[in-house]
Amino acid sequence: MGSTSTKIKLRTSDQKVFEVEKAVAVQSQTIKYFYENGCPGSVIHVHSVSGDILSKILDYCKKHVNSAAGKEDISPEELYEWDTNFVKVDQNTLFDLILAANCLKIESLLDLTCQTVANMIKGKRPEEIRTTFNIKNDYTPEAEEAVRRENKWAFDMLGV
Amino acid sequence: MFFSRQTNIKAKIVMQEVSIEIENPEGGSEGISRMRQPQEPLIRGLPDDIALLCLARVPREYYTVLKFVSRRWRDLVHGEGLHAHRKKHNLDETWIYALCRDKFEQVCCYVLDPNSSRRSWKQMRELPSRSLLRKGVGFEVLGKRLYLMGGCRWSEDATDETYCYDASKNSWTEANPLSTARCYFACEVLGQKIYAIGGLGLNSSVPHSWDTYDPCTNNWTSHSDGNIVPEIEDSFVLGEKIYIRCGRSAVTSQVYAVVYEPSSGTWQHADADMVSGWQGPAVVVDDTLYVLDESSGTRLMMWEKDLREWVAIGRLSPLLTRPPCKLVAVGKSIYVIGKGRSTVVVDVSNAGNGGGMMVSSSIPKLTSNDEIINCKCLSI
Repeated sequence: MGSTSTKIKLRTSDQKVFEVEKAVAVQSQTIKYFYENGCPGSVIHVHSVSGDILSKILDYCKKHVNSAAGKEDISPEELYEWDTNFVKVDQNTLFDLILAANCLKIESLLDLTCQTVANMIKGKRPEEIRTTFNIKNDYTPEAEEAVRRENKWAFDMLGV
Repeated sequence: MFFSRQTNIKAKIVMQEVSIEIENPEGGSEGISRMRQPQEPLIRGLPDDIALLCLARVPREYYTVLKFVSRRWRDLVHGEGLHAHRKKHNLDETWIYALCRDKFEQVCCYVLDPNSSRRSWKQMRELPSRSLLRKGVGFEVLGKRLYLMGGCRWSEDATDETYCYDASKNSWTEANPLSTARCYFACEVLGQKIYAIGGLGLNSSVPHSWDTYDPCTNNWTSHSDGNIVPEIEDSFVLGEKIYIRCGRSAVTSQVYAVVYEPSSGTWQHADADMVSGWQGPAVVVDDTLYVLDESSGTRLMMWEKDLREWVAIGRLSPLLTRPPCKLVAVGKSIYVIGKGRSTVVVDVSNAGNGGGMMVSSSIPKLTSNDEIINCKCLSI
């Protein structure tokens, strides 16, 4: 490993080129597949991911590879803390990270980012959820009242 | 294939370059969005299949809120897709449902979310009114549905009426009735079917019978076997077989139990050594049978099937348990639920290695004297 380790070249949608350590890049199952099935030394073009997003994603992969390999002395709690800070981003960036994690097939990052969206929903009232995610309320007032009636006891249970 | 699941990736090799791209993120590439085209995405900015990954991680206690957000969110919560996804990815959560009888002799049902921070039993409202005064009602969970079956009153013969509660819809409907009217019978689930076994109040032409319910066909089928005795005290499923304990002989006080072999469809006498220790409520955790011996205090017993003997795991404090209790298992924990829904949680993960048990927590509820009729777990 170290200086002799293999590098993989990635080119983003905005034509930025990243030269990445193989161990870090293959955290993405998609890149791994293309690396193993492509020509050696070829540039893998990540069309759908911008340079800014890929740079963040590579930070994530590097952190997790280093911690798993014991290169960095970091406790599971500290890594959790790092992850928590990593996803403290605006909603557009978060969605871009989700789309990229899905496309690049980085399971743990997809879990982390989807969980972040779920956490944004938890404990909010329906109106607040609609505002946060720009969702149109397509209930008629009567239908909404009917749902409220049907679920009254469950609503009381939640205390919202 | 490599790109078989939930990917929108198009791959092409251009010259010496490999490229990866996402196909129209707004469009939603799979299932849900394609069916009814011009409609709002679940979450703007994410394809529906990815929005599903996010919504599946919202704990089930928030489902009532999710339903209000939009009709599409409601349909998602009500439908099967979300729950199938949660089950597949181990995101499903188990709640315990306790059917009780209150001081007015009325049936009531309480729910416990074992993982909630404010852990306490909450009463379910709006039980089917005709079941409220019945006794010997069957209670079982299949998938995301809870069933209330049969029962009787002193002024009313046993009934075949069946009600079904859908936990994601939070609503009751009348379901297909049992093939045979019964009360005080055993209910178990085996091979994705409900078994309603034995009991009282049966029409005399079929005194030794059981009914099975197949949710795929929504039909009950009746079967009979002379080995089934009407008076049933308890039941459990162990190793893909249903065990039922029948009324004890007053003379010999011997336990009579039969076991159902699904391969042959017959009931046979159960292993006498095992049955000898089945003197109280039973529960199965990881294919191991536990029984709460309530004869003097409460003592948790485990059936060591290799040694063929009953081993005492530990005694529970009389300050915590209020027998008669019912047992359910969530993961490796046994919930001992007694009078007034007093609940003791016992961790048995090390019981098999001689590690005994660990009382992990308890929920006292000493103000109520509600009797526990039955307890079941439902995961969605």
